[in-house]
Amino acid sequence: MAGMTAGNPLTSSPARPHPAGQRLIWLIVVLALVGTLLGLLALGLQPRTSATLQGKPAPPFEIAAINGEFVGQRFSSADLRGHVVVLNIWASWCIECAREASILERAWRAYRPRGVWFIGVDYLDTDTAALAYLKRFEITYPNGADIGSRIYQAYRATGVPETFFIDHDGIVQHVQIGPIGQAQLHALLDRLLTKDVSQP
Amino acid sequence: MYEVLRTGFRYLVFSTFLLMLALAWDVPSVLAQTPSPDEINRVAKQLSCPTCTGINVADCPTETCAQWRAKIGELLAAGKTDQEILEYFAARYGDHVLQVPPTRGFFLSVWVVPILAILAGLGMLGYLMHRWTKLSARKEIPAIPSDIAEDEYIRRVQQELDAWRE
Repeated sequence: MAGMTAGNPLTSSPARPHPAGQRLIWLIVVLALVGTLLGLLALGLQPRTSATLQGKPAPPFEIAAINGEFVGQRFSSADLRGHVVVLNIWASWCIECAREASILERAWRAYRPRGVWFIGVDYLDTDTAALAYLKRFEITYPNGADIGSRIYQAYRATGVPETFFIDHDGIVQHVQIGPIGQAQLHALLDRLLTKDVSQP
Repeated sequence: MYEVLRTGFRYLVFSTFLLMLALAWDVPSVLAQTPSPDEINRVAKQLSCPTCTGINVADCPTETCAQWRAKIGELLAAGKTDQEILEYFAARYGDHVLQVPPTRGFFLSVWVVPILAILAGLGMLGYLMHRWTKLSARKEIPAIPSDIAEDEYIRRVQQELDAWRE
């Protein structure tokens, strides 16, 4: 048994397969992967609908008008700062949009003298169909194509129609998902215009 | 008889000339103005319906896609190539309308990430295999040094090991 004493090569343990440094690297890699997955999950769970814009600055937008007296003119959020803006996202193939088209046009004519701007954003349409729709409902406020669907995405719209009421300071004060009625539209505009008057 | 043949030949030449003139003048424009449904669908199949899920513009029954097919027809008639039409739709409505994601911007990740993941997986596999090979080599039982090989107990262990190896 003398050979079984300390120093016997048979009893000496082999090199450790997981040295401390290596384990630390593995731990960091695993934590980074788990962190990334949790981050992506949190992003996915975050609500990204248009309603979350309420009370927040309106995302910038710009359109080139295709109708009426405004043909060829560009309208941007920066140019319209200081005005109440009604930004309506619509499409010619949208049945609900047709329900509110005349209401929006009448309101535009009624509130234009008071400095309210209506802007129509035509989503996923061909120009031919869009112009036919504008002609059918005799819409005179500036409308333009949503190039690259950028405005739709920036406003986190979830469908059409959606209407954003932006105050003089560029803050989204109301988000209307679906068609709007005349009484509600007028009430909202009156409130926004009154709000401005009361401000210093 | 000769006169009749001569007059007939003249009429034939004149008619052929008129026919060729008509073809040269009209047919290309008619063909260009009316692309066939197959030509339109060839392009439409490369676009996704923007208002539905998992369906291309050629197979989609919605009004939006009908309008888009008409637009494709217009662009084909105007002499645009398939690629030019796809670029038009991507610029007008966004890259998400393309069935095959473009190799730019955010969509580049659709192409790059899988390749990187495969390379990372292969690298990881190679590393693990290398480590396992090294570990199993380490686990091999070392030869018994000669200075203790004479020990009775060690000798018996060596015999057992030899028998086990065989």
